[in-house]
Amino acid sequence: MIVDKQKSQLNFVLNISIASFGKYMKIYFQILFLFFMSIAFVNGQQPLSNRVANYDMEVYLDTDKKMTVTEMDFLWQNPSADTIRELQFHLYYNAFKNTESTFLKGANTDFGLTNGECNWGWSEVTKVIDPQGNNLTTNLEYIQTNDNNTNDQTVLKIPLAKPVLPFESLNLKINWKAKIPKLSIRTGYNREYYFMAQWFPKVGVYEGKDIRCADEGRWNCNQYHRATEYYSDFGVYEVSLNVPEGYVVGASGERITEQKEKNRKIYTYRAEDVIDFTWTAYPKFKEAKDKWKGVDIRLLYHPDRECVVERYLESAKYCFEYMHENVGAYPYSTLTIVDPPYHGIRSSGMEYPTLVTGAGFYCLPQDLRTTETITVHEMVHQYFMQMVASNEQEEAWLDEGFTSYYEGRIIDHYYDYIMESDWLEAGISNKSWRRYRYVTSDTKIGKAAQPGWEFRHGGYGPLTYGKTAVTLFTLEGLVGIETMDEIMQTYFERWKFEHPCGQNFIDVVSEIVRKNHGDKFGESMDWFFEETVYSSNECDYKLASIQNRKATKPLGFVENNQDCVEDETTEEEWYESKIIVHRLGEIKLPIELLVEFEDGKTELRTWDGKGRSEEFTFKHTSKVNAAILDPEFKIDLDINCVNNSLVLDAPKDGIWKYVSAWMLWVQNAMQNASFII
Amino acid sequence: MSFWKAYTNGFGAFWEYRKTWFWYYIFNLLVALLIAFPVYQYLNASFGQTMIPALMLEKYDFRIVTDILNQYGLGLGVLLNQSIVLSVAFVLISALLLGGILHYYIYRVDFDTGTFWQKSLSYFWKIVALAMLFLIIQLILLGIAWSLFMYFSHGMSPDNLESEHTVIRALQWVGIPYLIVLFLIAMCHDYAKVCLVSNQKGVVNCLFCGFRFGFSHLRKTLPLLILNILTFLIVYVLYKWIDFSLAENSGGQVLFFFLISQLYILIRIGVKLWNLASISTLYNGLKTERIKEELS
Ligand SMILES: [Zn+2]
Repeated sequence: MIVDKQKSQLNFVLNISIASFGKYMKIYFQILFLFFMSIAFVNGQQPLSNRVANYDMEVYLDTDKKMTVTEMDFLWQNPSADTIRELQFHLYYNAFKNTESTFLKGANTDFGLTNGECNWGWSEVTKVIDPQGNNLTTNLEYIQTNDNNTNDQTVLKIPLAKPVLPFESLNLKINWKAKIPKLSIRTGYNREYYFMAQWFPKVGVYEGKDIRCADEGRWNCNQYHRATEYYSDFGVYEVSLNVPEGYVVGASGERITEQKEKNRKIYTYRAEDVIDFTWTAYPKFKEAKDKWKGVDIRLLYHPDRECVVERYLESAKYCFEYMHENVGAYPYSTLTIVDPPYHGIRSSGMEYPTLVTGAGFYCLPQDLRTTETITVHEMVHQYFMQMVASNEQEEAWLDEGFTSYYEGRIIDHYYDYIMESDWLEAGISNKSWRRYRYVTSDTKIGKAAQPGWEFRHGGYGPLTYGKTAVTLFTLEGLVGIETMDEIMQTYFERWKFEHPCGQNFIDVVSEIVRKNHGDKFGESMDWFFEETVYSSNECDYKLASIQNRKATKPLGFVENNQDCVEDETTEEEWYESKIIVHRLGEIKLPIELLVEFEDGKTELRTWDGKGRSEEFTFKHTSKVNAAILDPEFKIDLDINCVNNSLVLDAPKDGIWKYVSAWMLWVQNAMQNASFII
Repeated sequence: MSFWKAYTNGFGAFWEYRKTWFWYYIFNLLVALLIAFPVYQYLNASFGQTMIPALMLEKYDFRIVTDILNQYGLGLGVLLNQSIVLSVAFVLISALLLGGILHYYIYRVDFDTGTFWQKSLSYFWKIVALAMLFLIIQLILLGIAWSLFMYFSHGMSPDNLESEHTVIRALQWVGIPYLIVLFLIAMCHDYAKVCLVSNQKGVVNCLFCGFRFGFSHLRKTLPLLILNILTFLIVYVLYKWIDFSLAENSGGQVLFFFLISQLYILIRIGVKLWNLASISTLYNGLKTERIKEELS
């Protein structure tokens, strides 16, 4: 955003007496801002986003003291019609300052921060100067936006000397330094490996009226909680990373310059239209490169991990291909994949703009697709939370749930299974593995759609990832894959580089479902999400009974003046069959019922699934032998598919198959155990 | 006597007393049936009248497995615990049978069912006591191996390791020697059992006898051990090859596979007994040679 020439001018201006040039500086900054915004247009490229939060940083990494010292030019564009009198920043390194932070308080673990050394970290803003030359440093204040824990210093308020008028911009010069914590969870250092995430003062999101369904303007700057961390505005980052020579650096965006300075190197990265910036430095990184449709893929890995290079690159290209075809285009020119070394394992499996971390292990069996699954998952986050910048902290289902859904689709499409064994002659698909993790959890302890920190007693993973993904698979089952794809494509196109809320997504679902299916599912699809992600309800349908009765003529006096009918036989043999179905769960979904008659004929009916029980009658020349609810497994949410069917004349071979396998296993186990005799 | 002669003559002894093979297999089968039948009854009562058995026959579906475990896992857990108790019972039956079997492999007298059971009972407690002593030795060995592994792999902690390569190396360095020692001790255990039946001495004495014999004739006992392991591996690979090439998507196929698997168990038990017969033959042969040498 800030090109070199202007940057030196800016520094020059700031260095001379700030107070006396205050009013000129204001004009200067306004012109500067307009100039920056116009650069992209002059180049023929319209910015992808509204570029609210822009950072120009010069970072010095001190590997001896484990610190960073940074000078930052920060340019903020008021996106609202409100007058802004304060800014709020995330200062997330303070979560690792001590055990009293909201992040660590009440945790059952200290994440390895207290293993005999002082492994703690912090972040401190040392100087804030506004365009008028006012020193705002003395007014800085830590605030707690989610709880009353006054010891938590992860949100910093900067009251402004001069308010920012609607749609005006503000430039601040901010100096800050940070003590890097030992890598305990997601960010920090271990040995020579540095993974720098949530590492700089990052401005919160000012949500003007209607932004992410806000009724009125408000700051959204949540404290750092253990489960969630992402929500910020789009902007341009230009970051110079001054590191000791020999360190291999990877970062969000593109590397634009590289220069040597004594025994150090300065790498400058530029990332446009992203919501965050993350970087890593490690002298032992090896580098592998690949390309997908003009996107440079760069993999950084420990030399011992040569065996997983191809697995990373292949899965990354699969993911790009699938998301491009089924959701939308990836507009950035780079993707950096970091495979953290073993001692950096605590930074594995994370997503940042144009940079993701995976998890590859030396000798990881090919049939265990951990590396592929994590790579795909984190890459899908480039779409959901990075480009479609929903609030992961408050509505993680729009982020982790969507990502888990596509993770399932992509892995199963390209690999069939997340894990498989030729030895056991079995494979587990990603979709069924996700469902397993959902149905075997305490799924009724909360809603999927709630802020991350409200999952105080567990359930975050099974609900936000699991229940949402299973819900989306169910939606796909109900409306069909074509409609589902159209929903996701429309949602992506409409809300990329914006901040949608849950209702925005639901409105897209309603619009597309109505367009493709009329009012088959009602006026809107609000009910579907109220039943599922906005409730703690479960879904369970049961096929309760099959009753067959031979159809007979009515007996007795049909009319008083006629003879009494005593012979019930009819010319043709007819059967009246009754199928009774139950709804055991609270979730109500339309569900299909397939019945199979003894003569092999079948009939499909649909039940709206609303009543607690229902009966279906059939008149046919033979009896009903079998009936099954949801025969195509469309309702992935149904927590028990075992009770979905009944068969009167059921062959038991399937049970024998598993029992004989069990028996063989026992026989072998007994022989193995007799080894001790 | 060469190890090869012991191996081939051992097969002769094993075949001569094949009735004992039959007894061993029947007990294995009976205990397994006792374990499997309640499982069948439970599963049949739980979902025998649904489409699930047909779907299970069609292909492995993790969704179905999930829901069965989720709904009926508690009951299956109880049955699993019962099966562990029955498996322990089978191990004791093994100890009972081995005494009688070894008696015939060593003394090579005509088989008589009454004598077989009588000998089985007379050696039972000594064989169990010997097994306990060897179990303690194996546990100590495991403890040492685990400690060495944790030492070389620095507790596998990401804080202490540059790369997981160290863990893999530690596993190779400790794991392979551990397995070799484990099999050598198991081999000495087999010879100790032969000593027990052959010499009629105390358990501790037999323990030393087993180690002494195993290691003092290592040039013969070790190749015989390798040969016996190879025999088992050949049988196992053959069975797995058949297993992979068989589908199990109909009742007939399930039954056929069941029969093949029982044949495999039968042969596996046969290989175990052949191993015992061959080491008994080697023990007897070398003992006879020594007596002959002493006499001449
Ligand atoms: Zn995720």
